[in-house]
Amino acid sequence: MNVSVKRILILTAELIMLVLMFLIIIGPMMSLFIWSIAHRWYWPNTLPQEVGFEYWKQALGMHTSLAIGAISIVPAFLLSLLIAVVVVIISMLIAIPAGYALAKYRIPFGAFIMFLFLMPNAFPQQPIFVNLLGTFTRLGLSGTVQGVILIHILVGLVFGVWITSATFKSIPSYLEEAAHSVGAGSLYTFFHITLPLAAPGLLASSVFVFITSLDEFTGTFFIGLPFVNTLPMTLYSSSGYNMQFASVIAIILLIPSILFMTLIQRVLRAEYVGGMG
Amino acid sequence: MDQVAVQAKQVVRREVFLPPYLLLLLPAVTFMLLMYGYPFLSSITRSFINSQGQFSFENYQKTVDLYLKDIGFTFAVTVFSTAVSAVLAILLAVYLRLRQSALSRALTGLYKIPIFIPFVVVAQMMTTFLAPHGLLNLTLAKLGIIDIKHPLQLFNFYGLTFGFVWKMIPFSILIIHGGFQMIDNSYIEAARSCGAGLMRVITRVLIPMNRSSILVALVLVYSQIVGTFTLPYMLIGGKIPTTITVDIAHRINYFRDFGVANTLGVFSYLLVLATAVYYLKSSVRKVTGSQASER
Amino acid sequence: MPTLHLERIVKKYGKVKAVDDLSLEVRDGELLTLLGPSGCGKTTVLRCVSGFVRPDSGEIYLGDRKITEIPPQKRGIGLVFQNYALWPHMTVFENLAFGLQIKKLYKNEISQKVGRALALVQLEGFGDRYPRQLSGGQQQRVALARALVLEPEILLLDEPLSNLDALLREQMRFEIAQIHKHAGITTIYVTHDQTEAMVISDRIAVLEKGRTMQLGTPLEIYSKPANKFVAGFMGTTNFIHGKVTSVDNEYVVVTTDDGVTLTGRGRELKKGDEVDVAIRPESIKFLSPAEAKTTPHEPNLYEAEVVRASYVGELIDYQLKIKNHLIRAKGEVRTPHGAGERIVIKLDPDQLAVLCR
Repeated sequence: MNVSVKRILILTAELIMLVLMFLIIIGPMMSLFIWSIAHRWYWPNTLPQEVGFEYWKQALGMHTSLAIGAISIVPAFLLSLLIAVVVVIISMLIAIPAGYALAKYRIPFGAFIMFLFLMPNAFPQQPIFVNLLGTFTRLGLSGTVQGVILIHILVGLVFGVWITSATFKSIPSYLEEAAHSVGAGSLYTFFHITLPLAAPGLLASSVFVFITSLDEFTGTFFIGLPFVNTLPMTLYSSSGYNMQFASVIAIILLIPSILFMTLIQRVLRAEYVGGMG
Repeated sequence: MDQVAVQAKQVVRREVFLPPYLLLLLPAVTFMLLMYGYPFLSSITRSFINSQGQFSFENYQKTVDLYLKDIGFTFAVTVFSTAVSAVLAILLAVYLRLRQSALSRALTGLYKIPIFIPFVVVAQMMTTFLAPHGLLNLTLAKLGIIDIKHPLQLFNFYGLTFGFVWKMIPFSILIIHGGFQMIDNSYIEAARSCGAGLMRVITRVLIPMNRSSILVALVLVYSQIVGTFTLPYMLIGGKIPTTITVDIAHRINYFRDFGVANTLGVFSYLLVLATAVYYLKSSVRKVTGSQASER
Repeated sequence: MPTLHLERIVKKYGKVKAVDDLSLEVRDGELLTLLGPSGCGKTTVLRCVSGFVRPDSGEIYLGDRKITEIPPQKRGIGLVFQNYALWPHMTVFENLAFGLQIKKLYKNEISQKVGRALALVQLEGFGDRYPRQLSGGQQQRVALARALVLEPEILLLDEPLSNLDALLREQMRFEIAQIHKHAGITTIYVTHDQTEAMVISDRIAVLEKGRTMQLGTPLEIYSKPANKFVAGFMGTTNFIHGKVTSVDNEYVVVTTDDGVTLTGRGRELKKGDEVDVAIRPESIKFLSPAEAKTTPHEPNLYEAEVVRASYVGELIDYQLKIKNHLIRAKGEVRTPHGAGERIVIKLDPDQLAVLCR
């Protein structure tokens, strides 16, 4: 009797904890979702009086309205997308050779390079953006898309190099030696043996850099204002006075992030995954 | 063969060619030096330069006068959030390690969600959720726990902590649970067979054997919170007290005061100095250690 | 086909000399095994020959070509890796064809050569499979085929069988020996397994601490070990320490401290030398009581006490005591002796090696 009573107690405790966690995790997300479809919501009602997809339609440019801050976010979305694509291409072009070098060669000043790429994780990044603002202003890069792209590359490169380096390390060197032993040169081996085997990890790295750029806020805030309007910037600026609109944008930002990250989560180690945001 | 010829044959080879990794690393290292190394150094040097362009401690004086409270606030939020996250993450990770039930499996899928949500979105979520008439307050009022005319004011230390903890616990669980997974069942069973109860297994076996993961999680959470701008900016904004990151933004946006802004930056560096040193040292050791064992 | 010639190879890792002034010649068409315990330098030597390790000093010649400075891809050497190193994203056919495509051969020529190589290792029809679909033994054979398909001047095998289970290993030994005979290619084989070495090799080089301890045929190495290390490495050996009391051509008489006299074969020894006498367990003959009576004054006849007798299936493993010496012996199952029994044993002088200390 005692044993099964204990079991029921444990199960009940587990259930309560699960429900609690569910509410805590889902709660804020529900809040977002409800706001995005609320037309009229005045307290003390727990739920909005009127719901609809009006704000969604406004955001997606399907409907113009005179409500404050109701604009189409399509331009901002496309800009974010464009920036992200450019950032991924440039970042990967830089990160893949660097990752390969770090993985395959013993580098005399390797510790220093590691240091350089680890520091952004160890120290706050905001002062970096602040000082780059000064430099960029002098160079005429502040408030430009190019400036924002450079910032996003900075943020993404750190992860890019680590993930590509880990990917290349996981390819045993004897596979490359075997290629040499049958007459393949270094470049031929890289493209026919190393790259195909590294492809999944490199793809994961690209997706990570892409999402990081899409969601990037702090750097864009300092360098991009007031002209560069990425999706996160639009979210921030509408958050002050149009909660519904801001919530719509938040959900739009949320979906690709969760989608892609759950897909590549299996390929990445925990410490990289947590570096988001 | 005579002596000279034999010795000539014994010439030791030396590497005369340019190592290939140099070219491969050049773009990445150059980029980082220019875009990170240089601004990092100038963030420190510029804190010592006053508005006339001379070396002085003026900025530090000004910062202490204006922002000492905020620096303390930042430290308090960070330590508190880190501690809460760590304790809860450890408990949950222990639960996930020891219990294999349908419910624990459901939790494993559930807890990971906040990890993939960017801070911008988290900030927006918390702004709606924690508002005086936000979902939390409305629900609590519906349940009769609070009076809707006096809702919980959460755009402050408590709301900020909630936001940080919400985002950081899943990340911590990921790392700490990963560490627990590596502890073989035999260690737990050995302790049980010596008569250890649950608490003793947790405190004398699981947690000590997982020290490194717990430390890594602590370090990463701590330094992430100190450096976060988005959440405090959207949740608390310019109210007093606020975080260093918000103050830096105000200093730049309203006063173009790079001197004090950088000084605040240096203070944030000081706040993370201990964790940063630990993180850098242990990471470098881990990689050079694995390199040495490759031979 | 040309021979391989290693001249005074030295390779240091930090302060440790992995290869210590080693010179070696591999004859045309032979299978030479580098045999030794882990850390003896055999793998380093192989990697110097294949080009993945550059020796600090010394030269390597393939025929009359000096190949010491030539990168691995241009050496024309076939290499079989310990873990097969089959490319997982390519089929068996593609694995074999890879090197041929680099040589820019025509498609039908490639197909032909791949087909022949697969037939040589008895894997016809496996061309479309992926490495993960093959067993360990099959993967090993594909690795061998991949090395052979390019018809290299010399074939190197780096402990190819160590990842297989014992039964498969025994089988594959014979197959490799056969394939070698069929292909007639000069081969260097690296292993730590002395039985393996003896089965397949034409000659064996026993290595320790980067130096050659002995170079010779399997028979020479086993029955006439040059020193204690080689004797001890090849199978179980008993060592009895003593002083040389007389030398008669190749026969040496050794006396121990407690008065046991042994006669064995040794070279370059003189009276008074400190020596070890190496006695193989299987060379110890047990005499029946009748035989013991009729052979009173032959050398190497001893009274011994059985300390331990362990039944091991096909024979009995004994520990015997002669005066103060404990030695291991092997005996037939049908004439067992129990612990505590006193028996008479005889050692054949020709099978005892007297080694200088």
